Amino acid sequence: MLELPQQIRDWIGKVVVIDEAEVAVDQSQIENFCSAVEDGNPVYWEEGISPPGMLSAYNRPHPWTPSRGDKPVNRPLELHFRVKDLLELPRGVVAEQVYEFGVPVRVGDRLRAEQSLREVSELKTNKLGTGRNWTIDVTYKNQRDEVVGIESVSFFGYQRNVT
Amino acid sequence: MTLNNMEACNMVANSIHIGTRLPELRVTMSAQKIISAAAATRDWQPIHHDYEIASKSGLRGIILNAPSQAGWISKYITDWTGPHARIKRLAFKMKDSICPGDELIIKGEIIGKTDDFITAEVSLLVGDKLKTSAEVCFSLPA
Repeated sequence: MLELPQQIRDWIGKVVVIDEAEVAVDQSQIENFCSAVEDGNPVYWEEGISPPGMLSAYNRPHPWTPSRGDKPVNRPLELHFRVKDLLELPRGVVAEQVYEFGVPVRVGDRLRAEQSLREVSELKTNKLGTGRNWTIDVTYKNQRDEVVGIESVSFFGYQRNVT
Repeated sequence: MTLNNMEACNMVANSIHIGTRLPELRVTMSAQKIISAAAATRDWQPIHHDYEIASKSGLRGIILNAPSQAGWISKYITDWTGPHARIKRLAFKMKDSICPGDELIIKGEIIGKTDDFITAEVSLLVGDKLKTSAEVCFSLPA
């Protein structure tokens, strides 16, 4: 697909997907993570602050809930999958991941994730195949509408080259 | 590095200079470490917990997910600085997978310093192979 679909053009720079977390931040989740990565920082264990690596964790859906079964409202990074489908690029790899942090995430917070499409490149070919780069920005806000962090994920979506 | 070391170590910005090398951290990855971190980050993609599916995807085994890598990197920084470092920005590129049995070596060096922030370059290696490269920007009490 040489031309960018109009739908994709319309999405650039706009919030397309808004996702409300199914879970509130709680201490046991923080301790599970800190235990897994052997992080003994007392700020996380004793002061109810969530570690940076957990920024995206709270907005990932449960695998199943009684009200919606196993069909979540949004997949994690839903907008990425919508872009990938519209561009008809079946494969994708993460090229770079950037987290920027705002006010700390605290126990009791309930986060909202706003997903926007920052940019899409022209078609390009590399050793993986032919496709495009795009970047999804996810802005996480707490219940007071304060930005707690922005996660930017750059992808290369592609089709394998036919040899 | 342990919590006891960390408690004894509360760095201030003035004690850190460009070119300072952080102590190396070695950790052997296990399935338990990878799965427990994936579960804690609520990441249920099977390549992080199901060997068969990971293997069919062409991977050596289940792989450490991105939030867990961010967790190991931020732990590496704050174990060294002490708990009062505030991580402002963390950027990383995952070049190859990290699997159970890999002895992960984490290395770091200070590459930038302004009045407000310090920047460290952090590398995650297995043997001499670079698996993930990262840049971490953080602040410390003056």
